[in-house]
Amino acid sequence: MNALLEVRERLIRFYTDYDVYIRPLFRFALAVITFITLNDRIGYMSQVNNLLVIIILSVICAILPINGIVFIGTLLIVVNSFGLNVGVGAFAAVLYLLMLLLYFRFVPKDALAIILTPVAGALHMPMTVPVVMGLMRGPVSAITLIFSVLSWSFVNALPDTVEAVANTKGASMIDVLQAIPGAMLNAKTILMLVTFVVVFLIVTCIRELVSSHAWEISILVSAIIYLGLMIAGSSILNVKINLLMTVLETVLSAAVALVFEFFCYNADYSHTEFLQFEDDNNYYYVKVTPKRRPRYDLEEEESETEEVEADADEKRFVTRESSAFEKKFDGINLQSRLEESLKSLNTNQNGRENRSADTSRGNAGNADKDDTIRLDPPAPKPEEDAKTKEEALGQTRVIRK
Amino acid sequence: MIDKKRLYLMIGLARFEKKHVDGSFRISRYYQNDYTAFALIRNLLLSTIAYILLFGVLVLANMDTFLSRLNSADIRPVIAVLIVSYVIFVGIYSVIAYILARIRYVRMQSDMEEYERALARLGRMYRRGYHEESGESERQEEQE
Repeated sequence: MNALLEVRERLIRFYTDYDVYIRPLFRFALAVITFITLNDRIGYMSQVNNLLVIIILSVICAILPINGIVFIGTLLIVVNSFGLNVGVGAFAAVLYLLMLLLYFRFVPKDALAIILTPVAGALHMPMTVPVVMGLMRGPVSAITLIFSVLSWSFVNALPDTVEAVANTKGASMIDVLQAIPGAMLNAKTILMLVTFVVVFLIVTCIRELVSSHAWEISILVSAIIYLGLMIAGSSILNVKINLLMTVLETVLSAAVALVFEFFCYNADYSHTEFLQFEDDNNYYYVKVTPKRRPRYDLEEEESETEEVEADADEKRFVTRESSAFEKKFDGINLQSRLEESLKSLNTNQNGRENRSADTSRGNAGNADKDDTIRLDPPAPKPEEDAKTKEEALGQTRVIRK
Repeated sequence: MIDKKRLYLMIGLARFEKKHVDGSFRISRYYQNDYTAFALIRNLLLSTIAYILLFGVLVLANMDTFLSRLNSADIRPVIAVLIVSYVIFVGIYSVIAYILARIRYVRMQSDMEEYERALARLGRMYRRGYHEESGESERQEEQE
């Protein structure tokens, strides 16, 4: 575990150092995976079903913000739908335009889900989408999942059902168009809709609990519920599912979600502290959970870095040999002497300005004679000392009044 | 000599400006009522387009039913349903758009207040620095 944490720390450090290059690279990789998966599934248009075109589009996505992948991915789906049939293409354009107009104009940050859900489905880890969204977003994003599942079912419906209808001799455009909603909104889509929304809401609820290991528990519970709902739903709605494949998909999705959790949220629950305090209005019950860090000695590392920084700071200044006059000050803490003398000056201020001026003048003379430097006033004689103390106390009292 | 505090403040301000260039700064150009009104007009337009598209998809999916209704003698109930559903549809989206516009405006106000406070602090820092520098230069002139 410690080795993993060290790897994580190094990755995070690497990311913070080179994020200018890593972010476009990440977008490029995500775009390549997305476009290749989509073309593999619905590559009806030969002009865009080409690796060179995919790489060019991915480079454009690397420059654009993350929603550029959504825009170009949607465009790719629409263009491929046009490759199958003009009516299907028009339907795809209307479908994604409706998604934008009805929902994603209010929540543009969630739009990536409509492209990543078909991709996750094609990569056999569909459960990753509701779990990761549940870990990252609030309950309102359940609507995002509904649109995502519709997008996924549309992409699945093209090769499964619509392609056969479109290639039938004598089938008109109206026939093809009427076949699409039926192919999209089948029993499997309803099962996936219900499962995704339930899993998402459960993850959201458990993740927000105060209990320890809330994120891990939410992932595990969601995996069990996903599996249970899929098995129960398939028998109720008469949907054929491959049980072994579903179990493997669930395990893979849970593993991906745990990796995601490891990088995004890594609390050290073994050092959790519970604090309780109060003020005039409220009682406070605070749970403090530190972030998990690698176990090498952090203090040593910090002190080493401080020393290195201090050395670097020293090197910035040009050093020169101190003059004979400056050497007189060696071994004297000038600041503390100055503070002491200022304090005593304040204490003796009342009615002693003249005398203190005389003594300092005399002291300066002595200093010249003794070739030593005294910054504090000379120590008063025992008799004077008693008077000074009384005066000082008197002064303090006056100030307090 | 670079003032570290001033530098950090300027970095913070630059980051804020970069982050909110399309958000708070754009919204701050409008009065609250104007911004809400623009949001509602834009919503009316987009909701109408969405309604037409949705209606088209539903008609395509249920073409037979729709044609049989149209062929019947009285199409007034169909038109009435269309108008009522349009009003409800646009009404729901207008409420959502109105609430979101108000929330965005209030957020923008608090963001901009914070930004203006930081700007004022930066201005004070510059004035202080200018006075110190000018004071030093006067002292140097006196010594000369």
